[in-house]
Amino acid sequence: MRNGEALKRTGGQFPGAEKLLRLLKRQAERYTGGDSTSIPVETAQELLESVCFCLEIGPGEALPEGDLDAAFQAGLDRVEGKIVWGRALWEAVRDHMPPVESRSMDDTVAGIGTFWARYDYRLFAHLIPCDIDYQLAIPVPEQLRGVDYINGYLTHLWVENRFLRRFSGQREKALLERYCPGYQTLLVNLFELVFAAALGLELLGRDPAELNLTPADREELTALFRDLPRRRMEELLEQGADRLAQRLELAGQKSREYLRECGRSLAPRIAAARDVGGMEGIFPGKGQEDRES
Amino acid sequence: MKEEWLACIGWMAAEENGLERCNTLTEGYGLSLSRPQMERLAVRRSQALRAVGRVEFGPGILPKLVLAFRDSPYLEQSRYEETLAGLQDLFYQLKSQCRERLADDELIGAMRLLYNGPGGGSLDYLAGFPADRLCQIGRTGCLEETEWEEMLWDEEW
Repeated sequence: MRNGEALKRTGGQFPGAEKLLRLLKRQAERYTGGDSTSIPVETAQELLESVCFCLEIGPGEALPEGDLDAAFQAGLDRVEGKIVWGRALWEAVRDHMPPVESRSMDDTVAGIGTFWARYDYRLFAHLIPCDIDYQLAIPVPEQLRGVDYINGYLTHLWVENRFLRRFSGQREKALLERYCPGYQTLLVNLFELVFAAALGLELLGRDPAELNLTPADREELTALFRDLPRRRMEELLEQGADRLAQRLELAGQKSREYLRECGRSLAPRIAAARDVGGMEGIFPGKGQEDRES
Repeated sequence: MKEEWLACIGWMAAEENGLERCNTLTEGYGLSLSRPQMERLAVRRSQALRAVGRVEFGPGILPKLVLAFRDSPYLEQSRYEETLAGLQDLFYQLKSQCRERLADDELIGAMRLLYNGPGGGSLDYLAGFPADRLCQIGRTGCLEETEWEEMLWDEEW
């Protein structure tokens, strides 16, 4: 229930409206500390959003039946559990950064560190009080809010960084420097390039640790995907991602699913590039000039 | 969205209106409100809240205003409803202008000091009063400025 709809119905028209407004009143009192009987509409909207977030009410959904206060308290308990889990995940991410430097990743991880102190889940559980700059290969769904968004972001980042840590560091740096000079200070994702290079090698049955596809390798990949319909192409990429996950010992369900999705997401670009010989933009490695030299 | 909010919360106000109880506390000052007057003030409250984009749960600010101003030398029964309506409008206006920096009681205290003092019972005086200065009076509960505050307000600065 988006609050517009919710409140339209709260004029005493639907069951639970009175309970919802009493809950909202209590939240407003908690917010003002009893110092003010009125609050700005915008603040009231945020408080209601937070209540809906804790009650896990989506757009167009009805209020839970029964004791609304108890349901809200149970929601707060759930959020507390998510905070504990998210904080542990954040510490793991912070303590296991990849061997490749990225200022935006460093800043983002440090910024999420302030989230735990700033996150006022009792009043504004749906908000995300920190800056997130570092771009993920697969963004977190925009409908996620509050601690759900942060935990989703950290889960993706954890998988990406675990992947990056499976490589030596030197080869990743060389690859990134070649394709994205100054990557250390740019808002670029580190994982995508490394993953694509490793996946390309895996598809050719080569050792992904090299992270260095030659022009001949790319021609071979072009031949591999030539004439394949989109669905078959996606299957091939998913299978390659699966083998890569197994080889790098990233066999956990979340990691496997993430890598499969990353592999699948390359299909449209490959389809567009295979006919014009632009595979270098998808599977990075040595360029034409390297072969000549 | 604002309209929805205000419409929703109106029913709560009706059941929790504390003005009837206030009449017993103002009798000694020769002030009272009739039922139609209370109803008109409740409507005016909704309009005032809507005008400044605020929502309110519970009985509203009027009972507090009544208790704070009941001994004002500028309140008289013939204009009691009109003055209360003006004070109510001003309260919500000033509350927003002060950007939540003052608690209700602090703001009412400042309004009372100004209305009974330099304002001489003029609502226009209150309406034109600078918000920052109002916050200062609300926090200190005092009309006089400290030496340091006077220096800050000095035009030479």
